[in-house]
Amino acid sequence: METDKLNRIAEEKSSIGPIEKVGTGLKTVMRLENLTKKFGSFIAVNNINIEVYEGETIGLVGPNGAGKTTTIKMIAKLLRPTSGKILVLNKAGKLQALNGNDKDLVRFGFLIDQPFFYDMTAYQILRYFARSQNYQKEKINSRIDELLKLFKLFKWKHEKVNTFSKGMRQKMGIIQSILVDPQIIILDEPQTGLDPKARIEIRATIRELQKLGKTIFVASHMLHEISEVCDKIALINNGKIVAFDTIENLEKNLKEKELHCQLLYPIPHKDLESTIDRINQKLEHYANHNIEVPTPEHNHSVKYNPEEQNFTIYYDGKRESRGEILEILMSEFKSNNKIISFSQPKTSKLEQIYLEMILEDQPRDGGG
Amino acid sequence: MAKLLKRDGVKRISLGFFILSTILIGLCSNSMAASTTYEPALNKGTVVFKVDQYNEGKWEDTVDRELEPDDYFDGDSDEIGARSKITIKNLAEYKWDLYDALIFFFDVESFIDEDALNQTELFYLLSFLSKDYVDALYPEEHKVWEALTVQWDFETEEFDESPDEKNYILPIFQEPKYYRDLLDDYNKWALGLNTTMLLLGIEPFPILDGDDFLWLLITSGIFTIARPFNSYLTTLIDKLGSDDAEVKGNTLILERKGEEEYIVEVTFSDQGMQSSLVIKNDEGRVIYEIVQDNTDTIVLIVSGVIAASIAGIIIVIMRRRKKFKQ
Amino acid sequence: MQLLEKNEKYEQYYLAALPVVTTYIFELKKQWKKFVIFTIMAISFVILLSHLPYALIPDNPLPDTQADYFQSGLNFIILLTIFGACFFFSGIICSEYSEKTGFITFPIINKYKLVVGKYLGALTLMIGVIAAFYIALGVLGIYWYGGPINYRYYYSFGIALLYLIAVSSFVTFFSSFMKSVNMTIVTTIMLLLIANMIIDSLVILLYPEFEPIYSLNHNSQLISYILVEDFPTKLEDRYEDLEFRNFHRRIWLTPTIEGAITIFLLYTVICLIVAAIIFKRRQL
Ligand SMILES: Nc1ncnc2c1ncn2[C@@H]1O[C@H](COP(=O)(O)OP(=O)(O)OP(=O)(O)O)[C@@H](O)[C@H]1O
Ligand SMILES: [Mg+2]
Repeated sequence: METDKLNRIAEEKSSIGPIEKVGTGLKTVMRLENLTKKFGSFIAVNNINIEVYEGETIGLVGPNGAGKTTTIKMIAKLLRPTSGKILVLNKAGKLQALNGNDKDLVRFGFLIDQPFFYDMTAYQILRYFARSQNYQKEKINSRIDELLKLFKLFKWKHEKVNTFSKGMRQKMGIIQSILVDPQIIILDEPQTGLDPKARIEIRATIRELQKLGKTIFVASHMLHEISEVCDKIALINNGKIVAFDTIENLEKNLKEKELHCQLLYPIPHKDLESTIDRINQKLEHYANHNIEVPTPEHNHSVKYNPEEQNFTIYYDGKRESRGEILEILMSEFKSNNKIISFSQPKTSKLEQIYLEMILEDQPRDGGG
Repeated sequence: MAKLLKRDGVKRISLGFFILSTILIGLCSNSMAASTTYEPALNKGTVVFKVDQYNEGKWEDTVDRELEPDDYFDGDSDEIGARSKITIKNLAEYKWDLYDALIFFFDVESFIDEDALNQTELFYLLSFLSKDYVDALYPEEHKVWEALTVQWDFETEEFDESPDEKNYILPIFQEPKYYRDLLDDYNKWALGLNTTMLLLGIEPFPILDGDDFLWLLITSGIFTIARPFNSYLTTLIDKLGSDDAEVKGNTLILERKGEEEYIVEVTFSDQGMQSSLVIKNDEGRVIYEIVQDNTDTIVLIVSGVIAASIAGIIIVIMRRRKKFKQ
Repeated sequence: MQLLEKNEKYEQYYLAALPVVTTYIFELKKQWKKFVIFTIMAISFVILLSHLPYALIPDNPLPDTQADYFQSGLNFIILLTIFGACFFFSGIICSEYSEKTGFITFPIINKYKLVVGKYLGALTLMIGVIAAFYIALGVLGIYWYGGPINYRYYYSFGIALLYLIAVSSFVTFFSSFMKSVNMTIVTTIMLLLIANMIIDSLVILLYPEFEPIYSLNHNSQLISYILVEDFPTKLEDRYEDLEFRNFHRRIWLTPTIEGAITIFLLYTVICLIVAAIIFKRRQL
């Protein structure tokens, strides 16, 4: 199973055909097929293949400029793909390519970038959106009130949206995207500009929507924000899908490349720098060169935590390396200190995976 | 959306309005430095007159056997229902001397029948009539408010689009006594000319007394007075020394003799124009009547309806707003 | 059975028209304030330019006839139409992109329907503004001259509407490729007011005899010139030659009626078609 997943990642990287989830009996609601978008010679989205099943919540995660918004805009038909196809479920229950005639598609909800909205009140705008999408007339008012209350905007129901703060407008955008009970909800960075409480509310909302069986597609550059609500994460970098899997599988993949080493006594302050430098040098050979350790004082693959007197070592993940690293460390602390434990962590920060996945992929050179 | 139109823009627009209106008010405030006692009441705009009554038989018996009303009042004024129209275009201050009066009041040019005269006669006559000659002898000028108008003669059908007469002038003398001065000057001028005319064998210019002049003014259709009307009229009659005339309020009552005695009542509107003219026989029966046709009421109705509907729309919107807010 | 089919058909039409209608109504609401401002402005300008100068300055003579009065009063309508069209129509397409509003919500709804709704809404309001101008001037015409309104005034209104549609299509065309609303407003106003004039005078300098039939400015003269009692039928009555010393210049008084109407319609059709094509190809 595990190797299966890894294979799949490899497959995606080399961009082989659509992913099939054979025998699961799940219905595909959206499929991106070899989706590519070029701006001039610059490839913003490079041959993406994603299959979204009914009821799934998928996080599209990548750093700034990875191509998330571009992908979503293509789904919203705000951009034309350079090549590739987007297939979406229609009312007849079949997949249908996006083209000029889309009135038979299932309802979509979109939140793209930061919407600015018209210079009207929240109520007027939402009512217009609902009416024009033929939402039942009798239910509109209660639906709007319900959503405004949910997002604590009810007080401003009759205020001009232009006077709203950034976060309030973002909330309006989210309300707008789920207003007409769409089957597929596509959110681009829903948490931008929101306070922590509102972020939690958004996660709660997403969970609510999941319960209702909605299919959700969320883009974000903040992995931890959405990781707990997503069934699957698609990591995207430089326009390519670097990984597409469940969170557990992704984590497992990374855990294997991290080691913890606990010392008995702290390293004396005066020796600290030289010791770490030395270890770094010695472990140079085993280091995972793709990882840039995110601590300012050390630019190597060993990180020392003075309070807990332990090391975190990022290495290439090879089984034989582990033993050799232990030997090196043992000899290092033989005389004046002692290693009391040497282990692989049970959990790993997902952020780390994210970072790693992205760094694994070589940065593109200038023009793409 | 259209940020240019926001509050700032509104402020700027209102400032512009303010400046413009100040300029306009400034312009108008110094334009009418009025005479001490009288002021013009005439406003720009259009007035329509209508022949309301005409008893042809009585007219012939009482007023004039030969001439019909259209000889006095022009156009189709001998038909009941015929309407005339005058648009007052502006009002400005000028000075009139005898020459202007000769042309506009006494209509001397119409006395000259060019076909009946030979070259030398015509030359002689025209030199008497020339502006230089008249101005040299009668240089005295009289202050007048002059209204430039266009005018449509009496007509039974719809008015033509273009007027029968453009740049038709209504003078309002700032003092009624100027009429007397002009009449005296005219009589002097006519006397001087008439001897020559008699020598030439041409019919002389008539010498007019106060009553004749008043009748001439009234039938000219351009006689307009200044406020206060009653005082203006009273002074005028007094100065002209017309025995047959009297003033009642804004109405001038003239006794005249045609085939028989008859009475002419001329009422002046609040603008100082002749708004109605009634000719009665001495029994008080109306022979002929011209009245002002009130189109102002239509304007009032139209603008009233429009204002009301705009106000209605605004109120409806306001109500709706309130409803929303609740 | 038949009834059901009929109902279904009705339902279909209803669904197809719904986005247009709701957008139309929303546009009316959205631009309502602008409409009020422009209407007040239109009426104030009528009063300011065609009433107060006559009412307040006794010296200043009224034109001879109602038609003359309308003719002089209507000169401002061109400016009003240009400004109004630029403000009402500039956002029609480009605001959807710059403010990322409409289309986000409607990937399933045909985006043309939204623009058609917006266009019709803005057009309705602008017609209202123009009508307010004509009504105000008409009432003043009755006030000064009495009587019924000259029938040619209604023709003038019709031509003014055609001109409005041509100008608004022109603005819509610009809105289809410009980036921001304000830029569209500035550009179209510049083009319609200044550039047009410059081009016209250049053409006149180069080809003094040539009638600038292509020009919106030239054709817009018909709006007021149609009020002239005897509309010139001969070519040589439609211009005046000015001569200072050795400088010769031809001033065109009016286009022909058919010519102006054709040009207005051509502008409308071409601008809208090009706008539609650009809009179809435009990406966010
Ligand atoms: N219209 C455009 N023309 C040219 N390049 C573009 C255009 N839109 C996006 N790009 C480029 O495409 C790349 C992907 O942009 P995109 O907006 O999809 O990133 P993103 O993943 O949404 O980033 P963020 O997290 O900052 O929102 C960027 O490098 C950007 O410069
Ligand atoms: Mg983005």
